[in-house]
Amino acid sequence: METAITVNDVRLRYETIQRKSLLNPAAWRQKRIGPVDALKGVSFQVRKGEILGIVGTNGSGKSTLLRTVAGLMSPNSGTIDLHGNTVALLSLGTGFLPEVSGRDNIYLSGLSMGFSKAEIDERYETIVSFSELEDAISRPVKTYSSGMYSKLAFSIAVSLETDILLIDEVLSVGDLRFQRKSHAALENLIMDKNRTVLIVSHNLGELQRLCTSVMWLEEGTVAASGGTAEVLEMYHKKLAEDPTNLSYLDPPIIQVESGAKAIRLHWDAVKFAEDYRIYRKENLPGAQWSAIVDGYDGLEYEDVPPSGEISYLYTIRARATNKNGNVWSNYRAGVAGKLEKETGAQTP
Amino acid sequence: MKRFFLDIKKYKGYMLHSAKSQLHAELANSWLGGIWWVLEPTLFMLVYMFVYTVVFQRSTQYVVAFITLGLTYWRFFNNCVLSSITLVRHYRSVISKVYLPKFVFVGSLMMVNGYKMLFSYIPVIVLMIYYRIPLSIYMLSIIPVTLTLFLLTFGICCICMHIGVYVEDLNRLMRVLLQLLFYISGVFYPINEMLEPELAKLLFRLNPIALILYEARNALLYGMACQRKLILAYMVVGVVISMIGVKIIYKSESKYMKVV
Repeated sequence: METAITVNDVRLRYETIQRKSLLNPAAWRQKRIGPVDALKGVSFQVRKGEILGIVGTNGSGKSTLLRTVAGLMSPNSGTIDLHGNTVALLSLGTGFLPEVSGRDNIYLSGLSMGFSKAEIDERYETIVSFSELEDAISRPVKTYSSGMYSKLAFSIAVSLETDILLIDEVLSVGDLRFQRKSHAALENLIMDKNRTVLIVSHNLGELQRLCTSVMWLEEGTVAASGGTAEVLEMYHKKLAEDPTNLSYLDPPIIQVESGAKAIRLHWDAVKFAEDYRIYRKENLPGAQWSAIVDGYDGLEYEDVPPSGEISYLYTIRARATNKNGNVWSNYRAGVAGKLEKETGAQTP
Repeated sequence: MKRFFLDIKKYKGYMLHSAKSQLHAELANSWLGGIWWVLEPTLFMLVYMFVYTVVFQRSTQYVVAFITLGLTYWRFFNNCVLSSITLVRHYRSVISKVYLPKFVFVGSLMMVNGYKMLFSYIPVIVLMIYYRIPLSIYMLSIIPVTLTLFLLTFGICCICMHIGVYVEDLNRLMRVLLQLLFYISGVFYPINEMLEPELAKLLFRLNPIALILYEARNALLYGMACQRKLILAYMVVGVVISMIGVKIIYKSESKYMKVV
C-alpha cells in the first residue's frame, strides 16, 4: 500500500519570543523565553488508509506534531513528506475571520486547503445543511455562539474531504444531538479506506475502537509505536505508575446488556452517588478498577430506540476510586450495546 | 522566487475571495455602503483644497483634479502600509489552523485597497471630463507609474508585516513617518512649484511617492512624458524590496505563531 505520510527525524524547538516595545530598549536585551524542544527526532510512516492514534501526556508534543504535519510550523530539522496529498487539521477553535460571513468563511477555508471554487460550490449546500446554520450563514461569524462556530468548523472539515485528516482532540462538537451526528460523520470519514487519519486523543476507548495503530509520544520522542492494543497497554502501565496521573481513567464504557432499556444520560442532569458504579464493557489493560450500574435513580430515559447497535457519547459526573485512592469526576462515557428486546426489567 | 510564483498561482483564489469577503463585510456594516469609497476621498479633497487655496492662497492648473489624484494614490499606499503592520495578528485565528504563505495577506490587503482606489478614480475621471483635458498617448504612462507604486507598496508592506509581528508599537512610529512622507510627497501641492528647483529634483530622486504622484499627474492631467529612467529605477527598487520582503517572510513565517 502506498505511503501517505513520511516523517523523518523531525525536530522542532519553540523559542517563544516576546513582542517588544520601541520605548523599552532594555527589553531588547532580555533573553528569549524558553527554548523548549517540543519534538526531538520523531520518525514514522503512515500508509494510505491507515488510522494512526497518537497518545501521550500533556506537553508530550502531540499537537505540535499534528501542526507540523499540517505545515503550520516548520521543523528545525528533519523532513515531512505528504506525497502530494491534501491535508486538513481539525482542532478546537475555528480559523475563521470574524468580520466575514459564514458563507465566505466556508469558501476561504476550502480555498486555503487547496480546493477550487468549483469543488467548494459542489459541497457548499452539504456543509451548510450539516452545520444546521442555514439561517445564520450570511451573518458574520463574530455573531455566532461558540457552539455555532464549532459546528461550522466541523462541517467544513468533514465535507471538504482531504486525503489526510488530522484530528486534534475533537471527535464531536456541539449539543448532544449534533455530537451524535458529528461523531457519526467523522467516523464515516475516518473509516474511509482512501483516507489517512491521525488522531490525537485522550479518549483511549475511541482510539482502541478506531485506530489501526497507535504511536505513544513521550517528551517529544516516540516511546512506542505499533499495534493499538499493545501500545495502549504499555501506555496504561506507564501512567498507572504515577498515582497522581488521572488521564488514563478516560473513558469508561457503560454496558447496556441486552434486554435492558437503553439509557440516555443528559449532560449535567445525572449525578451518581457513591453507590453507583460504572460497569466497563472491557477493562482497559492496566486499569485497576471497574464498577457496575446498580440502579437508575437520577437517570432520565428517552424513547427506546429500535433494535440494533446503539452508541451515544455523554459526559456524566461520577465518583469512583481506583486502587491508588484517586477520585475523579467529569468523564466522557460511551454507551454501546445491542438492544435485543424491550423489557420492563431494569437490570445492570 | 519560483516558490513565490507557484504560491501566487496556488493561493490567488484565496487572495481574491478574501478581498471580496472583506469588501462585502465593509459594505454590510456601512449605511452608505460603497458610496463612502467615493465620498471619503472627495471630502478629503475638499479639506486639502481649502488648505491649499484658502489657507496657503495658492493655486495650480486643474487644482481639484490635482489634489484628488494625489489623494487617490496616497490613500492606497498609506492604508496598505498601516494595515500591513497588524496583518498577522488580524489573521491569527486562520494561521493557527491552516498554512498560508503570509504574503497572501498582503496581496489580499492590496486588492481591497486597490478596488477602493478604482472607486476613487471616478471623481478623477469626472474632473478630467469637466476640465476637458485632452486625451494623449502619454496617459498610458499611468500604467508603469501605478505598477511602480504597487511594487513598492507590496515590498514595504511585507517588511512592515514581518516587523509588526515582533514590535508592538510599530504602527505608532509608522503613523508619524507616513505623516512626514505625506507632507514631503506633494500630495496636495505641487512640489516643483512650492520648492526650490534643486530641492524638488532631490526630493523626486529620493522620495518614490513624490515621483509617482508627480508622474501620475503629468500622465493624466498635463499630457507630459514621464521620466522613464527614474520610474524604471524605482520599479527595480520595488522588485528588489518585494523580493527581500518575500524572502524574509518565507524564512520567518513559521515562527510567527511562537510570538507572544
